[in-house]
Amino acid sequence: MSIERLQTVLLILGMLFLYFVIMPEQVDQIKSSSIVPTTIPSIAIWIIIVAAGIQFFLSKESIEFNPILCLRAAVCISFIIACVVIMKRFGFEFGSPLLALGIMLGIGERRLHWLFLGSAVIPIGAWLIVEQVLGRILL
Amino acid sequence: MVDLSVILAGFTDALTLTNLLYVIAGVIIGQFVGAMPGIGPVMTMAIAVPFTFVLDPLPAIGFLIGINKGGLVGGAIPSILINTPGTPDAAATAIDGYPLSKKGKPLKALKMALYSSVTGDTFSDIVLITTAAPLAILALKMGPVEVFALMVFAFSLISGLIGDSITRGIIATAFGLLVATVGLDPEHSTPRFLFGFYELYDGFPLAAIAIGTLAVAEIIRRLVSMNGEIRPAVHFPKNQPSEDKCISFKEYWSCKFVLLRGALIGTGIGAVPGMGSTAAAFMSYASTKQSSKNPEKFGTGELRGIAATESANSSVAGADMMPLLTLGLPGSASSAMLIGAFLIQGIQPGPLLFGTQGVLVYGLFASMLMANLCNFTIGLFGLRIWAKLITAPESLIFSAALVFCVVGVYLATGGVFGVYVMFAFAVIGLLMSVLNYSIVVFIIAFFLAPRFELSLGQSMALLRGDPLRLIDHPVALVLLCMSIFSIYWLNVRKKSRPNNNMEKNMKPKEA
Repeated sequence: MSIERLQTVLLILGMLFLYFVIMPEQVDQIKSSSIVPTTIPSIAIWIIIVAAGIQFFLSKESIEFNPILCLRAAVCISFIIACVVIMKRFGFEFGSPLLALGIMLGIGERRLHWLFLGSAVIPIGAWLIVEQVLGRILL
Repeated sequence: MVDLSVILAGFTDALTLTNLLYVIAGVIIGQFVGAMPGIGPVMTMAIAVPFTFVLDPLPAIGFLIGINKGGLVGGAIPSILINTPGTPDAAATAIDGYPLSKKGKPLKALKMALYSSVTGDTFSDIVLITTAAPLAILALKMGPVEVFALMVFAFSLISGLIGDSITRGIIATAFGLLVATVGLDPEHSTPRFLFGFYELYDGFPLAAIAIGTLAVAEIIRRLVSMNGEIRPAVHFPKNQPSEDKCISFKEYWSCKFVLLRGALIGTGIGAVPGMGSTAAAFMSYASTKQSSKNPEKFGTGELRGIAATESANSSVAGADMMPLLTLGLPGSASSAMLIGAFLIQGIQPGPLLFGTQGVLVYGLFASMLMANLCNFTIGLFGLRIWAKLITAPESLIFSAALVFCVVGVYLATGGVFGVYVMFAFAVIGLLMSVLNYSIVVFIIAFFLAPRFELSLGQSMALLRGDPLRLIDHPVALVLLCMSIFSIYWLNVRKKSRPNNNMEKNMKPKEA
């Protein structure tokens, strides 16, 4: 099965799961009105299922799947989330330079003046403006 | 009709120093980000929306409009100088701009792009200013059933026109509607899909969704696909004769019909939700080349080629506001960002806006004209600076953008939950772009969903649940029939793909 068809099947299964398992749990069932809380979610889910069904049979598109890029994206997202957790725990002024530095090093930046500007001046500048000048608390 | 005093009050509000400074700031930022390939005005608008929360509505919207208009001018700079479009709509500009630059006339090419861009943009703004109020009066005559049918029609057009596949467009639209149902149901006020997160009572925060899918997803996508390549340095030849670096009035005037055609195409396309400025630029270029006596000159550094593309892609910006202001329907990612800014300010765009916020609307029009003037002035003096900044490291730009995304969403949502939502939607945005689902369609559907649900509820009440009563609403019936027809027609058109090779066939020839 091609990736195109696999993603379509997963989409249909996900929508069926949402409709039959999650929606009854998460949305109140009201029957006294012409439009109920489940109306729009049901319409949207069934539109997706029908369109995905058509796509499954008729689509000729091919999706390029690059596992290395996916792995890099996963590492990148994990690093960013970890930095946000650090910001939350220790403060924006500690987490944001780390986030910027990691991103810059990840891209391949090695020039010290750019690294200093990107990982120290900009995050600390943002922190100073928001917390010290605007008086708002950051993370 | 709109009272003259309202128009004058709007223009007076816009001409304050504060507003002017925000418009100038927006244009400078817009030209800068437009000139940086990969950043673009839409991503910047998404990041800027939460920061506008602290501003009054007019400076806030004026600032965002400045970014959008500045981005249209800035996008042409890397297209012409390094053959890398700063924004997708500037791709066609490279066809003649880059060869002219290679001939040793980069400043001439840049100035033609600037003049054409400002001409096209001003033309479409004037069309918007003169037609928006009558269109809004017409729109006010529509009841909930007609509004619902109009939204269905807009969704069908957007699904069909944006992206490569109509089924993918429909799925992206339905997914946007589905995501927007999270939170309290507007009819019965019962919670939907909260999963125990009480922060979701008001639904997913607009800013977090917009920044996550449009900005963070794009940043991550570019981060992981980077190969450490350094952009070439840009040098302007010294001691050039003035005819090689300036555009004379005679040269500009010789392109008058090309500029007018481009502006008309751009305005027409911009008024249709979902068409976009890239299509306008390529259509204008193709029609100019077709009608030229010397079509072989196109692609070798022809000034009319630059004039055709830039006047068309920039004139989309003004016309794009027509469906937004008169019907409350955003037709592109940038107008979706503007609708987000309106909503953050507690203003619902639509025909009622002319009655309830007439001063704001005319202030907005004045800000648009001011932005054009600023675009011209700043562009004229800033071209050389932006050309130098193209070579600034992407590492700095992307790391700073990511930090500003976190700050912006935190400030807009008032907590770290919004930041996590932003990253969750960045992952969804990444998946959507990998699987070829349009993020722009998703965002537009998400923004329109609450109004869609409300008008569906009102329509059902008016029709008393009987679809046959639609016969009493002929306009709605026609719109619904047009929706079905447009889905069918756009599907057939996509399958035959007559224009699909147009962009591929238009590669710039080396000078």
